[in-house]
Amino acid sequence: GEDSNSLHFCDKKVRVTAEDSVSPTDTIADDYYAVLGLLPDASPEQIKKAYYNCMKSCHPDLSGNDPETTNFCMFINEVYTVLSDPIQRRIYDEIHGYSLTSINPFLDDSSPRDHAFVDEFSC
Amino acid sequence: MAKEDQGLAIGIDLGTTYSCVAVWRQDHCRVDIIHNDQGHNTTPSFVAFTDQERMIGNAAKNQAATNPQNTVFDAKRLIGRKYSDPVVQKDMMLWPFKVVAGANDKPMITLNYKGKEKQFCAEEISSMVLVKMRQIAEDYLETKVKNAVVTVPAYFNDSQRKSTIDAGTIAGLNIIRIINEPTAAAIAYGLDRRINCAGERNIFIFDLGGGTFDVSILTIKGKIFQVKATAGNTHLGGEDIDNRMVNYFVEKIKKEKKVHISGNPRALRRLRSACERAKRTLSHAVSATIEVDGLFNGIDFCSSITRAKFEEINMELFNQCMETIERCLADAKMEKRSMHDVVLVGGSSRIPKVQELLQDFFERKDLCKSINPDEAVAYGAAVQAALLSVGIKNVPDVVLLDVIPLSLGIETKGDIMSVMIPRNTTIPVKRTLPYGIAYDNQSSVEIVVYEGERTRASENNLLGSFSLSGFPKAPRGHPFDVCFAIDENGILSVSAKEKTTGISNKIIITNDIGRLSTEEIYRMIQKAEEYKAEDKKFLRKAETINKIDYYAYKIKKALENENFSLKLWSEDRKKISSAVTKATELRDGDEQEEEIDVFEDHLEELINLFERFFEESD
Repeated sequence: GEDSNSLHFCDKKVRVTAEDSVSPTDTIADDYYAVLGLLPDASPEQIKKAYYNCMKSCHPDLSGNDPETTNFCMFINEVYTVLSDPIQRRIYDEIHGYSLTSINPFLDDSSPRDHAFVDEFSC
Repeated sequence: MAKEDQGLAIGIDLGTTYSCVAVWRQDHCRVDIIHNDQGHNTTPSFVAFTDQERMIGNAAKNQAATNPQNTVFDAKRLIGRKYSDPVVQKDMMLWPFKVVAGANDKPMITLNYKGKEKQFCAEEISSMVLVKMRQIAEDYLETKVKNAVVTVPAYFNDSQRKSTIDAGTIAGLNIIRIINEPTAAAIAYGLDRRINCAGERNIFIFDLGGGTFDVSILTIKGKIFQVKATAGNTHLGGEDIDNRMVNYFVEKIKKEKKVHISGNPRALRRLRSACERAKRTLSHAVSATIEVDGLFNGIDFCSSITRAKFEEINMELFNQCMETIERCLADAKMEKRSMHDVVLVGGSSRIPKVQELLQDFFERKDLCKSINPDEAVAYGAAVQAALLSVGIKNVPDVVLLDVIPLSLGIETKGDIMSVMIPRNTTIPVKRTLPYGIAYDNQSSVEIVVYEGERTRASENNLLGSFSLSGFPKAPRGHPFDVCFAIDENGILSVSAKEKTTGISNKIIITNDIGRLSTEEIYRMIQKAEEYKAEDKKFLRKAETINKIDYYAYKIKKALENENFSLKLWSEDRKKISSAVTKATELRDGDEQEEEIDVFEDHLEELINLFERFFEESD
């Protein structure tokens, strides 16, 4: 529901602003889907809905220009720019391993293994 | 910008040719478009100067033909531009007032006021119009107004926006937000239609005004108004249509009457007014007559123009509009078929040919004419003003997600524009990108910030620059980060940081080239106050003279009554009649130049006499 979403946002807001950066290295904030309370297989409609819900709580017009909230709003705009554009989203998914076509190299038998690093769970 | 608890906030549509002001009435749950002292909802964006006074609005426009050199309009076409801008150079040829180059290539309007030559920049002229609009609102609301949301064309660039804010500051207004005109119109439309607006709607705003042209595509869902893309031309509007008509008739007069009127400002002004009227007529009639008595050298000019001819001479402009529409749709990555509504805004959207082309383009879709094209922008601005103010009740719940109209970036090696934030990106936004130094052992970098769509950086609009220095010796490609942040007002700040040493530098692009400095703005505020004081003095004097006239008339009338007259002592009668004579002299004579005290003293004397001798006799 909407309530659990907004709680979720508040939680993230603190993390993001603590970093004082748009592209936080924090692992959870770095997950664009989690920030919006979504899973990586979210449909464009779900992404848009989550983005709109988020804007209703963090847009500077409504928050009275609280710098932390504005900072969070800027970050969410950046997240939406990526997730709403099919090409940028695909690139993001590839990099973060969310893509259906992306292959975990550790589980992929077709690629040669050099045995220097192995996934301990697949051994 | 912070929510400010300073009473009512108004919305002002500061137009090229007309301006409009509106306010949210919390008790009535609606927006009121505020009419001026003439009863009109729009006020001409005109300022005029004479030997005696300064006029703003209708008064200024009405006397334009008799005082063309000192009547200023089109300030919006100058604001935020440089004197050497080809657009300014071209416009100047058509303006009856004089524009010269000031410091930093800033265009300065030169005219005569009270017999002295004065210079004004566009910001000052616009500030006078803003003062007038605020006055109109204060008269209507019967309270002081300090805060305002002012609209600008969506396609205004950074300097034009900032100069508009400066105009507000000079006017003594606190501009709480600058919003885009088509977005404001969308609020008006969206609120009007919300009742039957289930789900998501894509709306196309076509805003062809007096001087500028904008198109915007928005998605409205519930209270969210998201701008998808915007495009436009800051120099295309009704004025340009008038220009083409004027040129057509100037040529016609040259051919038929063998006279050149192009050098005569008074004749051109009168011909322009006649053309503007004919243009309006052609929106409902198929032909219009142009009649100007005594246009030039005693020639009475009379001619006519058909709608077909009108469309022919303006077709190029109409086609430009259509090209802009396609660009906007392409930017929004949307099909024209997916537009639910096409909304007309701006006076020039009434032109039948424009509507026809638009309707053809959108495959015979009905155009929305339910909102008033002249008032929709001020309406939306008033809603936004209420939203941003503390303690205003019943404000419609709206979240505006607007975009930047032009790409922002920095210059990289070889005069290449490297775009940091592409046009139509939703604001507020912040983005950091890594760059590398261009040469080995480079100890500093110059960050030059541009706005525009050209690949060559120097062909774009220069916003400002700063340097980052003190690097350790490093090979070419050594990284540093550049960060662009744009706030909800569209104000850009740029910072750069060298990672290994942590050296950083930052600018908020406020004092870009050609923009007024804080001291200049302060000086202009002082100047504006002086003009205001002079206007007040003039008004007080005019009112005093009126009152003198009134009492002198009453006294004269009373004296005509013989019964009464005979009752007076002869000494009193002499005193009274000399006071009346002096009153007539003051009213009609050359003593208008006298200080106001002279008038007020005499008025007092008249009132005393009147009260002493006449009042009880009534």
